Amino acid sequence: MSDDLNAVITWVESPPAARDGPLAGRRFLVKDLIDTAGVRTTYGSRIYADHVPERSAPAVRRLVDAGAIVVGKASLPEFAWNVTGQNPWYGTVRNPVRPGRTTGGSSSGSAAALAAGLCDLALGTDTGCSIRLPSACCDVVGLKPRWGSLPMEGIFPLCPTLDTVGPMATTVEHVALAWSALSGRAAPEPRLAGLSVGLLSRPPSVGDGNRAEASSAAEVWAAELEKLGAHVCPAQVPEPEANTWPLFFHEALESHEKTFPSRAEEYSDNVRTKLALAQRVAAEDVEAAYGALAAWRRHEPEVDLYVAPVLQLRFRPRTATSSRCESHSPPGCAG
Amino acid sequence: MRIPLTAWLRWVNLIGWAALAIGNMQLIAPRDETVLAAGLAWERGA
Repeated sequence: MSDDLNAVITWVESPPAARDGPLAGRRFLVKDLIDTAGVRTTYGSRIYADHVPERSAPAVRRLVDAGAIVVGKASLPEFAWNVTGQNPWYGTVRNPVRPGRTTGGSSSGSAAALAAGLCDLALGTDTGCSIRLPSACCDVVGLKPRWGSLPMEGIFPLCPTLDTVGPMATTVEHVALAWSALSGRAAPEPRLAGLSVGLLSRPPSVGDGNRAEASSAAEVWAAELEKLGAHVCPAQVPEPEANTWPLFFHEALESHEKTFPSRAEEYSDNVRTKLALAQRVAAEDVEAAYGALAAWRRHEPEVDLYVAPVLQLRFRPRTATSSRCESHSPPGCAG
Repeated sequence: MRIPLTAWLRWVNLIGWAALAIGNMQLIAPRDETVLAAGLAWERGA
């Protein structure tokens, strides 16, 4: 099988028969950062171009046990360290919903394949945006779970303190079904009535002093949320007390200690440059970042949930009754 | 003005909460069940 979108790095030539279960027969695409037994897993890199794991990641096993069929490995940027669908070794993933625009990343192949109907279910990872950004760019649905909620074993790390793995599909219902299989917990009943929803007009910075401008982007959903029984109110989230970037670079460098700098020439310029930058992060800045993060993670929200945009762009609002956004190219989303 | 693509996203990983993207809409809460329940209600128009 092939695809015109370059969404898949490796197809499984003869997928096994489906097991019985809540996901029986669902065609399942695994981000190529996640180990699959007997199926090439490149991590989007040249270094691991011929790597075939002996064991599947627990997240993959749980979905297969629920009946999903692994049909292939979805493309991603090298080591999932980019926010676009560009990969120097395996090519750029094309966006089937907004031709000529980026798919977003790093779960780029997963989102594009779902949008094009090449699979029914996908598994992505999210360290800073990587499930949600491509979900927005390709008009699909993706869950970044709470950190620590789902097992990360068998997944190449980027920054373990931030890394998460989560399901992607074309509907919330299918994402919830997959989450149930992944977590072993029952999918929740639909509920918005009676909940307080904080409308974020400005995201908190990550402690680096760079804070986005205020935006009314989330207001397009407020009326619909109110109609469904939620109480929508303005909200803010406090900021961390120190720059948190140093911990990201510190852990990313650790994640690559087996191959960087010893095999530096086999990395792309992009990732090699980032790793070289990571080598210059000061230990005291890393320590301050961990302290700020620990304090921030103790914050208790003043509302039940928040609503915010993924991208601060002019998307047409998705209504409660439509299954997907009308196509409307986001100008700032150009790849 | 230059807006980082991840301005509305990265902070959620740092604080450790769950977030559900439905197209460009992001529902954010400390627990997976909360965002899924809200997303299901949104999708079903319940």
